[in-house]
Amino acid sequence: MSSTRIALFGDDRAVITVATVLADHGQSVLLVGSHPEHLAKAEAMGFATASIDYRDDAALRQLGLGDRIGTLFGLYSSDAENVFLSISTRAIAPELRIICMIHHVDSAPKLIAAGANKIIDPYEISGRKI
Amino acid sequence: MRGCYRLGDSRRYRRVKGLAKHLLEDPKAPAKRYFDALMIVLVLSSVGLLIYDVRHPLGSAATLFEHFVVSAFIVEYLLRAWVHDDMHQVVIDHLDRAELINAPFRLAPALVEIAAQKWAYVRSPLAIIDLLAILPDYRALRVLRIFVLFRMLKLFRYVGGIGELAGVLKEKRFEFLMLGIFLAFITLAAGTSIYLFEGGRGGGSINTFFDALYWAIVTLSTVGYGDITPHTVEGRIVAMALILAGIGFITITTSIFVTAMTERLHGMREGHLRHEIAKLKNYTVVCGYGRVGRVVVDRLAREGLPFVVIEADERKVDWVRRNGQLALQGDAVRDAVLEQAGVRGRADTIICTTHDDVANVFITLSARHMNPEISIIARANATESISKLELAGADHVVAPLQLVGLVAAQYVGMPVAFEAVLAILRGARKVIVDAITALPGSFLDQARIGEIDFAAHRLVLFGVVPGASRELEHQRHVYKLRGRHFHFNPGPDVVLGAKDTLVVFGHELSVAHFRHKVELSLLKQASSKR
Repeated sequence: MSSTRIALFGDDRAVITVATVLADHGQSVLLVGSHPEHLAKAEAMGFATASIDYRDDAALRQLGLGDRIGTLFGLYSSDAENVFLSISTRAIAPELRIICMIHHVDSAPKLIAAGANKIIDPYEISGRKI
Repeated sequence: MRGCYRLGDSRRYRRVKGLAKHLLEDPKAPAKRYFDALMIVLVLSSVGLLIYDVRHPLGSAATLFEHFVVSAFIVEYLLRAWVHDDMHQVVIDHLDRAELINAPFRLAPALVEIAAQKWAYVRSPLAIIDLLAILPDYRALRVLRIFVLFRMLKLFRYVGGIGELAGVLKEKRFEFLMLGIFLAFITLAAGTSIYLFEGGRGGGSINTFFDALYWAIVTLSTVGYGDITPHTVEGRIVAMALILAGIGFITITTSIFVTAMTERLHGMREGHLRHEIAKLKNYTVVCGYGRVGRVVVDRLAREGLPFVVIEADERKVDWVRRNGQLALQGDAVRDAVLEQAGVRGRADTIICTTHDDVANVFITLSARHMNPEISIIARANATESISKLELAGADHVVAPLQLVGLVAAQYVGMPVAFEAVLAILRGARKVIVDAITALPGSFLDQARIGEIDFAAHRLVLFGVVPGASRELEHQRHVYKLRGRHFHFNPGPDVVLGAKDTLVVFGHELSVAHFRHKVELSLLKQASSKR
């Protein structure tokens, strides 16, 4: 598979933070969001960006999910948005690897049901680290 | 030690203890209500006896009754001490710990811990009240009899609402402490000065410092019996200052109470609401009181079906509540809110009608996750969301904008039909499309379509949905319908099978009458067989 690009969905700091770490590891990343301000900031930092509303299936298809893009990160600040993103993208690309951040413990089984492959709970990990 | 393990394993012991705990501590247990009522009666009758006793001699029956009441109180006190914690569990824990660190087991620390736990019970305010209610049985001391009144305090345990008052007192204890200090200061200052000015003088009625304090309190509280009055100019000045301070004091006390109560009122109302919801069964949860939600709620209300609305907007919630309907304020995206609405169990339908598809998908998924049996109806605002809602577990998806398209398409072709379709969709004129099941054994079972006189029943047959694992043959207009098939306008030779569903169109009375006839034929069949 040549689909090595990683798409990061989200509209806040989380995306840029994760993208920086991934880029440091030599990954090719694409930042997807709908806040022009946030995207401009990401672009200024040298990231490739795409302005897309995640509710729009046609736009998601154009991104080349499962084709050019093999992995997707759902980093929206609400669990509901991440669930919606997972359901939409799983329907478009069954092979896609979907990794989502969750904000509430109860959402984990729902995200799995919605098609996410992996769940990351940043608060739990940080809490354990402390 | 072995006894402790055996006690921990004994099912009977656990059951008896669980029962006692249920009776005494579980606010939801039905038996607790009867127990509480009994205790209230005991308390009130023993206090009533005390009052009667003041002027009338009591017979031996009353003494016996008093003994009975006190024994009941003692038993209750001991039971509460018993269920407060598990003694054998402490010993077992200590044994386990000793085993883990390979040290010999010592009984003394375990006993100390048990004693500490029981002491924690004895020290709790309600337990102290219980003890005080038992004490006055020791009649040697006449003054102790006033302690019978402490039995009144026992009512706190049995009447839930009083707990709220205690909560207010506890919450505002800083304010009340300040007021208490203020009160003590004023009383002392006024009492001392009146005593200095008028104490022991001829003509004045203040003889002791206690008299002075008594006068200060009576005046401060604006009660003013008038049995003691200041006679000197200095005394009257003190009185005037005291009266003004008293008005301020009472106003502040009242306002503290009122604000504390209004703050609590919200919580109390929520508690009442939760209680109301807990009483419902097989009801519908409507998430989102938007334009679609409102129509749904109005229809449910008109048909007298129970429902609960979840809405985040406070004004909309107020509106629903003002109509005398149940509404929870909160975001349905949060699991706790759905849980509160009883989605995990007692509700049988949930309708997601928020204007946000993202939220609808999430609520659908949450509800399906909580309750695999629940029937979920979701609103899709974008056409693309329909498949996502179905993926998330919705049983039916309603797309308002698509419905508009459907109706509009009708209008372009045939304006008259448009009016009819719109009327049906809006539920006006009571003309409905409804499904009737061919119950096995009824006259519909094995009947030919041509034999059934729909016209006589003032009904129009739309189509047939065959029951599971059955398909009609040689039919042209077949539409897929969630794993089953819908046959539009089937021919007269089609034979119906059991569990087939007829989709008919007509006045709601005609539909109800036809359904009744189907059920009636089933009964007739059953009785003729017998």
